Amino acid sequence: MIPASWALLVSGLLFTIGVVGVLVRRNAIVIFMSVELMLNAGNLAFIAFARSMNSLDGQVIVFFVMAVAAAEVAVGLAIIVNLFRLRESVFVDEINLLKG
Amino acid sequence: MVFIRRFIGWLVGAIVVTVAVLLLANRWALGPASPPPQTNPGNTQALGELLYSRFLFPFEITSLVLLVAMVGAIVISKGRTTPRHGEPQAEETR
Repeated sequence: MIPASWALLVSGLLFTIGVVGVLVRRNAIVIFMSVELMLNAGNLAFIAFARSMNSLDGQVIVFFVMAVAAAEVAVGLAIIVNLFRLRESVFVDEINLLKG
Repeated sequence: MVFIRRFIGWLVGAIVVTVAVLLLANRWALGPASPPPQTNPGNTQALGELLYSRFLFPFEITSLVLLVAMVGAIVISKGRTTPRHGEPQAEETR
């Protein structure tokens, strides 16, 4: 059986990749993929702890996290589509509408 | 039209709050709080039983969240329905 620390290590690695992706990449769609990566890192941590504690609650929480992630992706992609219609670009450093 | 839409929104919100209060009064569950262990149930079966007993209300709220996200995605990506300030009349999208 794989120890829980290994799964947590992979989870931390995934979360780090997601954070770096959000902070470094400028493409809005890639940023969204990185956010999904962070959510899945959290899911993996939930699964690891649920397994090590012999509980099913963590897996149920993962179910809800996946549902919320699906909703977030639907709305976020709609926003990106609208943004592309408005600005002809999905690069977030060209979206400076709030900069005075 | 706006009043009807707003009324529908308040109605749905009131229904959700009523169901939440009823379920919270029953300690978030219509069934037993912790289902009794079956004879070697599989992981999927245990997960389904947990979803339909203890996490029933969050499960229903999840369905509502997905529905709202679907409608919201359609509304957002449909574009604006009123012409922007200073622009000629856009084509009717409604």
